[in-house]
Amino acid sequence: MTLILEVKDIYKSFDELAVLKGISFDVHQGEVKVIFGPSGSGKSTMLRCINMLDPPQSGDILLHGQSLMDPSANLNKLRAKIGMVFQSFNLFAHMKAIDNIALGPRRVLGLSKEVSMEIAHQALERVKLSDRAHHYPAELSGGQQQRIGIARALAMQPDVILFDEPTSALDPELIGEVLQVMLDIAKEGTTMIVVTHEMGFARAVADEMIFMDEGVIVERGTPQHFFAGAESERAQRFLHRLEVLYGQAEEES
Amino acid sequence: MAKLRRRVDFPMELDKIKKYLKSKIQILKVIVGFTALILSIIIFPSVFQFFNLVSYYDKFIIGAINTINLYIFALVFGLILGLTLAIARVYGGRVISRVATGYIEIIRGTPVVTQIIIITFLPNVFTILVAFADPWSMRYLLSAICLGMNSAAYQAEFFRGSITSISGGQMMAARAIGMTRAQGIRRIIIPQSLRRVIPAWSNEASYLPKVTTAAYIVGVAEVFAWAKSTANATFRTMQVYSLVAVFFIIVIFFVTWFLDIIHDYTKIPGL
Amino acid sequence: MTHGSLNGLGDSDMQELQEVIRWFQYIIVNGLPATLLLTFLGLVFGFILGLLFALGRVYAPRPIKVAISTYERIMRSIPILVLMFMFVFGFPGLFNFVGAGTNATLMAVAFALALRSSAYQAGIFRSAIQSVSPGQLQAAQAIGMTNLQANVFIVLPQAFRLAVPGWSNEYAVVIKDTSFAMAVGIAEMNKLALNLQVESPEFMLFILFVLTLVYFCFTYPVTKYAGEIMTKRLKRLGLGGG
Repeated sequence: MTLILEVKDIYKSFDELAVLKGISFDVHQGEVKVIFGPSGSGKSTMLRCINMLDPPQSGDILLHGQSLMDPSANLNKLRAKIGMVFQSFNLFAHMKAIDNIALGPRRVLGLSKEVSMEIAHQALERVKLSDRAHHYPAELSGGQQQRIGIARALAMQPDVILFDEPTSALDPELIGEVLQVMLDIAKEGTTMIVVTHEMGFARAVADEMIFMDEGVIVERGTPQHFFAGAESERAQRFLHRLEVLYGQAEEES
Repeated sequence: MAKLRRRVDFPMELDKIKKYLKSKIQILKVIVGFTALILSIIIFPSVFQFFNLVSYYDKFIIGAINTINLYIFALVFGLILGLTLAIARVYGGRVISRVATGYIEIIRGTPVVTQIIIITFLPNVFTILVAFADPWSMRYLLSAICLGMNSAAYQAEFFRGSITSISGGQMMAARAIGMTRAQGIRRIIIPQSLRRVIPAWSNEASYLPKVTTAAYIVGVAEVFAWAKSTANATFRTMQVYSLVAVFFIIVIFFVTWFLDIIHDYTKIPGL
Repeated sequence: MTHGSLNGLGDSDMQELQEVIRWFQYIIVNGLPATLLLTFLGLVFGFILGLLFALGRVYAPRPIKVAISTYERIMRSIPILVLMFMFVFGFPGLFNFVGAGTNATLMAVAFALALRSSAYQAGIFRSAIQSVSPGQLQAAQAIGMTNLQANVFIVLPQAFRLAVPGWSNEYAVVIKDTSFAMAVGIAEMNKLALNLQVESPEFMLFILFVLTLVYFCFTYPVTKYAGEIMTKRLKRLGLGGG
């Protein structure tokens, strides 16, 4: 399997506060990595380091062998190959849904208007929102907006898509439709890095799960590994708390 | 015993100094403002010497004092009337609030020049008013009143904004402990809204000195009238007008600085 | 030209009314174009300069930012009357390229209005640009847009919509400020009305009242529409809030 992304030894701090203390992992073609852990563990920060929205202090990120930390690298071109889906959707508020999706292919990839529109319509179909093409973001529900966000990332045909807690800002009944889309594209072979609490999703499609706490990777393994019984105590405690929350286990005093 | 010499990391020291200064910024503001003010008061007269305009200095002071008088009168008059209008607009009944709104929108939608001409020419038409005082004082007074009425309309909008920004829950709580509406307004809403309005109000307080120049149009001897006559007499147009411009810059700077300090010290935490 | 009396108005009253109407027409026809021209020139040049200054304040290196913000502060502290006199009388001949005399004075006044307006418009645009949600910029960067593309296609379009209420207010300010031009000799509506003061102060007062209505018709609809209705529409679209 081809190596798509290498994350090497990332260190990141905000002023005096060290948020990431040496994160490393690899992502291969078609893999779905799920990153989970308590809030404040640095998961979202790490995603933003990967596409350099918030560059790390030290370490390296390599996309197909090309370093994003290299000052001479064409960061915009590299970013075009990394898709991102935001927790707060961040759809372009002044544009209709279809234009949100077509903008990248048209202005960044330089494709013609017809081709861009064609790509946008296809992406819209993949997320099952073709009938909402001409609505503005404000006219759509949260779940619909997030699916448009996913379509926007898909339209760029990136090598890997980063998902930053895509369902955390959604009302519970809307989470399902977004997760369904994510499951679909995972099964189609999209390379994804997903930061989420949705363990059901992880169990279904994750190739590897990474547990982060306080800026370091504490444990990693397949979903079976974690759900059979994690090794580290911290991971055990976190998973147990999630299960208590969702009513799958009893609280032990 | 040999002391360990640590190499001082220069950027880090600079950061520490910056942080220290930021924490003391309130006191710094006071000091800087005061120094600037005192410096300008000291230097300003010597500029007159520099421009060879010393003989006109006394008349300038008179004009400046008139401008300041107009300003303060209009500001205070506008505050009282404006606050009343805002309360009328928010809490008044159908009729009162519409009247207040009408006054505010008309005054805000028309030039102060037109207003001041209308008001200062009233004695020419309603000649009874001339009985009150001589024409010059009458004009001075009427200009001040007109500027006050004008400022009131603008101030009313700021007050209205800050009054409505206070959540309805405050009034509900006041009524719940038995206060009347008037008491609730007086004791709960107004004190909060007055503290909140300071940034917006300082906009008006900084804008008003410039508006006083409208009084020149109707013949009041404020500082711009001085500038016009001095420029005509000495032909040093740019110098004279620049002097007046600097005068306004200093006044407005002082007003803005002063209100900024007040805002710092009366901020309600968390609001 | 005899009209019958209407509801107790005698013939002489009708004649007076007609004279007032004639005066009023004279003032409007001769004065309003100047007002509108000055407003237009002042706003347009103020817009161009103001936009440049705003972009400078948001994107330029630090020294330029400081220079622009100092300029803004100074321009906001000088009364428009002083500015007008500076350019009309302080720089004689500077504006003669449009023809000496009234035209030059008009240009000088328009320039003064434009300078003042540019300082305020810079503030309006700057705060509009900064009000665009940061998430919008991040999303644009995430799909690989250059900074230039992100600003041109995402940030600025939203900033312009956000600036509309503030900008309509600025329009009202400029059109009111044109009234100061009477002091430098422009045949402006207020000045023409003042010509009546000797002949008939009652007429003048009455005409001035009507003049206020004229100004009101030019300001209130615009500010009310752009201010309230635009703000509601912006809220609906979910712009800003950043």
